[in-house]
Amino acid sequence: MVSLRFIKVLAIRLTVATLSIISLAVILLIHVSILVNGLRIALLNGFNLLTGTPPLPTESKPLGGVGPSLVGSLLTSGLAILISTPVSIILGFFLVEHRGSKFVGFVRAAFQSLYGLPTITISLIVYILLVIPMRTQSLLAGSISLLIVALPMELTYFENVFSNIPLTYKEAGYSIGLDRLGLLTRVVLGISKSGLASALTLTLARVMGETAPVLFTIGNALTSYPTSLFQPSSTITTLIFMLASSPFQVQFDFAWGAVLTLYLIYLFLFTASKLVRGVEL
Amino acid sequence: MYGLLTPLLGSLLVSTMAIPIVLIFSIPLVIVIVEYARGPLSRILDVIVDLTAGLPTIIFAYIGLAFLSNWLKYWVEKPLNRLLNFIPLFSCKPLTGQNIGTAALILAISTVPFTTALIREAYKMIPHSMVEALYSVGLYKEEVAYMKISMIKTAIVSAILFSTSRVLTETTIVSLLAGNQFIISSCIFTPMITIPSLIVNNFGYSTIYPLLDSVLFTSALILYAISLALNFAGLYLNKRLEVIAGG
Amino acid sequence: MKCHVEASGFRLRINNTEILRGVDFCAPKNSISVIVGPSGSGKTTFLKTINRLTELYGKVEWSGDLKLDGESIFTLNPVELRRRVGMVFQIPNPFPHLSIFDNVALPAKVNGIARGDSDVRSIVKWALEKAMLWDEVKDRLDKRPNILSGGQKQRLCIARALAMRPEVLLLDEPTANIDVVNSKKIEEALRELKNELTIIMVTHNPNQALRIGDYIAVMFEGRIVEEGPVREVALKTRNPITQSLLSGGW
Repeated sequence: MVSLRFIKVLAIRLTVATLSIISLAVILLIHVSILVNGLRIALLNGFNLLTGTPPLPTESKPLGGVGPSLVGSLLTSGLAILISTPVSIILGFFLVEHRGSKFVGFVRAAFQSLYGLPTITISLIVYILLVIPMRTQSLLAGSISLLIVALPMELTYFENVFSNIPLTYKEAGYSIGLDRLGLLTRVVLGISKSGLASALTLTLARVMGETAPVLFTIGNALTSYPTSLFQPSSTITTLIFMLASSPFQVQFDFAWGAVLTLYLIYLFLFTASKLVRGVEL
Repeated sequence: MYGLLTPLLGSLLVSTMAIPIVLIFSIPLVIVIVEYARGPLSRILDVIVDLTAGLPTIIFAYIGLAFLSNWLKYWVEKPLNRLLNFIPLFSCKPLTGQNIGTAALILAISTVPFTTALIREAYKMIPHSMVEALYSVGLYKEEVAYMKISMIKTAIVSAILFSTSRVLTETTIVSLLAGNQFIISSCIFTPMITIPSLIVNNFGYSTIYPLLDSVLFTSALILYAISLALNFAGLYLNKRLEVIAGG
Repeated sequence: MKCHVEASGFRLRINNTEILRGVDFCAPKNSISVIVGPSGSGKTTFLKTINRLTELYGKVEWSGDLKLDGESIFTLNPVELRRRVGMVFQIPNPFPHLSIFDNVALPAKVNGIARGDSDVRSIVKWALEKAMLWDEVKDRLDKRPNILSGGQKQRLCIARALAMRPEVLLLDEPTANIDVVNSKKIEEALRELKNELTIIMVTHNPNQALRIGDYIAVMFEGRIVEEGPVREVALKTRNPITQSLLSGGW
């Protein structure tokens, strides 16, 4: 005689198992299809995938490259992280050292709200504040949008890393006559090196994968390499968006190549962030 | 003429459809990763989930467009329409694969890893002594899991809030997959518009049509207000959790 | 007898809780002054106030006098004060991200004690020798401190404090977590160091107080209840607190 309880337990086990298998299968399918289809386009194009320009609607095969957009991605994300990192380090240190004060609570709340800013709203704000006065979309505007995305994220990470440093090292630092700045540069940064590096790579990964913030701000220059910060450009993400909206099958198909490129960059940064965690400390 | 009600309803509709799906799949995944998978397998699954959680959403959108919308249209949506069209949910004929139903599904798929990661953190934080106590009264693993989930209800609510905020502000998936028509209908196969896709699609015209840019900006601010409220609510709940757990 | 570090009627409140309730204390130059007392009596707080570390943890209100060489410490620049007063903590805390050499070199460089590489190297050697650690680490100066034992780490911390050429060395129960062999080495190092600086040490071990202390101060509930040369206090005290501390340990 099988008890009701046992049936319940079995039912739970079955549902949980089935649902998770479905989830995992879907997840796996996603990764596999990116790799398989992306590889197809990559093999067709070889190295030119990284340097060429996207195929015209009239072409018969998806031959081309993501060159200009790749450069645009690297430049905008790089610039955003370049500015965001030192600011977040100083701000994060400041927030941790002055933990109790009301002003600090206010600053932290301000950044939390920045964190919740929808990326599409960021795009609109930067458009109104920068693109319209400049009368053009530009790499600079795109970088600023990404900067707004990166700052609250890095700040949260860094503050977390800094607050995890054991008090005793900070005491030791002060006791040998370091002032606040000295403590930051000579002790705090050194001790939290790997945590900071991991946070930085994660933020970089996130920022490179963003589409909405740059959609209106960076422009639509898919076929020419950027020559100045003040000119329009594109990122891999906007490229994919454009190709995906294209009515021409050859362009739509080519998007797999761009997807693979973005995927590999993301994979690289993700792995880097995990490795850095373990090695340096 | 510039009604914002339609996109607002569209946004709400797509999230009301997506979030339950997310929950249905996230919670079992958490249970499997923590309770059933052994050591290295559990860690591998964790990495896969984390990896997929951070995957750029444009990739999900593209895959959705490339596969799902056509596949879904032929194999799921059309049959559902033929067989079950007495239910208002399935009563319209899906013309393209781009409708609110598809968008909700892809949104759900892209959000499951994120929500799984959030719930997993809370699930793992249940103190060991509590777990031991549960087993010691002679419960099966499944019953223990059930109890643990009910213990972290607040955390799950907080995860729902964060995920909803994310779903509402998600742009690329809805722009490419929701269909972009100013229609509201109870049928899930209708193309609809959401606030993010409204902004994206009409952006180019904002310099031409008078007042359009302020409309778009207002809608962007509405979105911000909603997501801010959700995020702060989620953070507030997390703070409460810290106090309860004595952390 | 001049006091190198002197407190008179010193009171201290941290975040509105009164920890020190009128401390009268004198540490004469070139001697080892030992502070003893039960847990919670304020010994560590007093020590950490001498180099103004307590101000980092909250709102600090004080009254009375606390002087270094006749000057109130609160009129001195805190960073300069901390160069003149070195500190060794209860649990050894060498900087994990710096090599053994750099751990000792950092205070010397930062405070401008050493200029130029050869200057730095000679100070590091001197400090490690005084801390009785040189022979054990001279071949591994570029390694991280995590390869050292607890006792060696503590001696490294002593060397780090010495590298600033301080006038006073504060030690907060330095051998509490250290094995017997290393403790003896540390006590030997301190005995020699008192010729060059003034040492103020908090200890839990009555035997240690008797072994190396010149002066002893007994702290109880935020006040010094008895003070004087170690032999006199140990042999002639009539104070019940002192008697129970010195005989039974605490």
